[in-house]
Amino acid sequence: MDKILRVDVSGDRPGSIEEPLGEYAGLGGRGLTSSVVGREVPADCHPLGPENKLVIAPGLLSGSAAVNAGRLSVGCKSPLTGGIKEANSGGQGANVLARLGYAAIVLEGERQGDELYVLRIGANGVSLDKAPDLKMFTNYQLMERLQDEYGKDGAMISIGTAGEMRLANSTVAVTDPEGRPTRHAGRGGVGAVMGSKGIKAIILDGTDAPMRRPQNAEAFKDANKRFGQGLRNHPVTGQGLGAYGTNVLTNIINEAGAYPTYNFRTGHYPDAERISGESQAELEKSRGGKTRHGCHRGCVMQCSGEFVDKDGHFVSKQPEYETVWAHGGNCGISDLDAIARLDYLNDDYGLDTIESGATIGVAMEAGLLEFGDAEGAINLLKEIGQGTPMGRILGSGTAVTAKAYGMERAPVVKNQAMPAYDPRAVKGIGVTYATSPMGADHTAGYAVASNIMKVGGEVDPLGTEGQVQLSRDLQVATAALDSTGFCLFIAFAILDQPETFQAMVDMINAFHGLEMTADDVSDLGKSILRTERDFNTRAGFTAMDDRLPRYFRREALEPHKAVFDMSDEELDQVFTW
Amino acid sequence: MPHAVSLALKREQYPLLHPLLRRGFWIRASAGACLRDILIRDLGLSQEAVRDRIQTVFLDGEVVDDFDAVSPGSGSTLALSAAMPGLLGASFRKGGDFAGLRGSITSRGCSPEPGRETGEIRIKLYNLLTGEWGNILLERGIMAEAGQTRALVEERFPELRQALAGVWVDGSEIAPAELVEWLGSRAEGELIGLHIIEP
Repeated sequence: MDKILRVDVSGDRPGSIEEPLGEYAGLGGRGLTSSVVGREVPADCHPLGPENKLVIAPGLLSGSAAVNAGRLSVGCKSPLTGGIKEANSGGQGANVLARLGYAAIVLEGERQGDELYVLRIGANGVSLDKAPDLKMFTNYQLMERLQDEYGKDGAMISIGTAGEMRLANSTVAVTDPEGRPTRHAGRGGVGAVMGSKGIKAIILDGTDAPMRRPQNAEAFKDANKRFGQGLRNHPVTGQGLGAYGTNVLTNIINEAGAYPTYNFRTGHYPDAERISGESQAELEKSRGGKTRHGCHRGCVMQCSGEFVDKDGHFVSKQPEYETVWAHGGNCGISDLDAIARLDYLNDDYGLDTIESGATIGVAMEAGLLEFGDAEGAINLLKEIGQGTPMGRILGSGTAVTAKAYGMERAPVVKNQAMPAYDPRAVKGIGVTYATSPMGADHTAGYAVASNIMKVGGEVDPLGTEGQVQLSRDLQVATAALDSTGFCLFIAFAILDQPETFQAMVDMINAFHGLEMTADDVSDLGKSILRTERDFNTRAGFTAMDDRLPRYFRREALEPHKAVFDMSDEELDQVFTW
Repeated sequence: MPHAVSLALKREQYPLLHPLLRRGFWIRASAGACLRDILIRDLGLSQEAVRDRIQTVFLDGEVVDDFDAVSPGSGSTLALSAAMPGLLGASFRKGGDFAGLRGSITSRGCSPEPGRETGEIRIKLYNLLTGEWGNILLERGIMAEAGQTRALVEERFPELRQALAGVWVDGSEIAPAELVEWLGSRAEGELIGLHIIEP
């Protein structure tokens, strides 16, 4: 993994070149995507213009024998937020790309006309081929056409119709071990940037692509074993996630009164139990579906699954918590079959489920359809995927849709829709929504290692100062973790088991021949955040962009009657380390 | 005394009724006692289970950190869960490092007042805990709202009709189809005694 593949789509004869890593040596995942975007993309460029670049980078340990290290980072200037973006995906892509020796693919330049291309990468070389016959193919149609090429040892990275139409809500899809396009770098419209370059699909041929070897094989093997054991032994990563998937959170967040319902009108959804992870698992089991499944090989947590219909036919992957919330409680839909259908359509067209669900919630509040209208929601997603005039408005995201209907109540930060936790009930996460360079993002402050890393020292966890401090520490830790290729869910085992955290650091050191400490991990996270915030500043962002919408301060959330009351001064302290 | 409903089910079919445990069942408890005492004495859990398995507790929607410092009153709702994923899952854990993130919805507690009269407390049992304790609780017997019980029996009727080996109301056997009718004749919120026996 010592080279970058640059694909220039400009001119009559688009092509690619390989370069050594150079100044980007030692970086992976988000660290690499944000560094390339920060250095090479003019911050004031149009996200769909020729100056923007799409950077696709596996993590530092992807492609090795490390467990749960298959995350892929996709970075660019975001068409949705106008700021820097790193969206993150599971699936097979990171591991195959890393095994082929690439630290990153950079898509750049200005395509001529509306040409579409398929980029093919294998051990025997790279080709960029015109593919006019794939125009307006969905992701599953691409799978049908191209699966024989990538097979079980390879992967496909692709855009559906949304990316091809360059909609601000559009994803980059990554195939899972079955070759299905079920994993997505979802947030921020990264698919539109891939679409603007005319790259419809990237086929990664894993044939003759060897597993990456660590510098210190014995130490790596030992650390990997300890790390995997730590994940298996932990009650969340070893039991809860596998049994119910991430949707196990529905009942709990709802119980806390933090479950955004009816477009963030209230924090409690009366029918939450019907769409909970427990109900979902029971339904899947009764129909013969899988409740345990890894989104990539080498996953020990197995938090994914397969949702099948009453006849046992595949409908979609097991919808994640965020998806079930966005299309479920947020839209008043309590039918798991309808939610799974919406999940499939999102995957097929290449749409971010959070943005889609939040957009439909706004459309429901605007009176376009009733809350709870599952068929209406399915039809709206079809309009987006087919590119009708209405679909193009909805596909431009939650903020644009609210603007089109003259509404204030758009639950967004930096134009990106908030995920499934109401920031009035859980103010600490509101701090992260407000201040993350990525826009409202639940994963931006997700990695829970700050108790070990002590990034900012000891604070009172119940004070508002503590919430600012926690958000800062979590954002720093997450930025670092996003560079490794590790799934964020390892964070729970790291939180509770210091020996598992140590095993993770030992793995990185043994693999790369380093002697990193927790402080180095913290410094890496800070460095990434500095790069990202610097880009956003140059793109015109100010402290005023690090705010929640005003109505979150004004409208009290039931049942706790809570408003978001962190002061602007407190929010502005997050990055003053 | 509430009406008593007994259902004869094979043990592997008990999970058909687990949604009832998640939607909420009632126990008679010493109102005013501390949470720990209620879980051990009234719900019948072991000290180890309360210490190790219950990692997340909500009392009337507020997160509980100290089981000895809060006292559920009559009519309170207690939700019990294992450790949960996600940043919020971590922040909701009892005494977790990330409690600050949910500071405003943390239960400030009220002093236990042992000796007050008994009352009914509503319990919701979630995720792994349903699998671990649900069957035992159903065998011991719970109190459930007639309306919720009817709704669940209706939802699951095709499977339940196959699975039920017998149904008794106050000691008299009735056909499974009559159970829905009988439950429908009760007020929505009326509490009934429900227990499962293995045929």
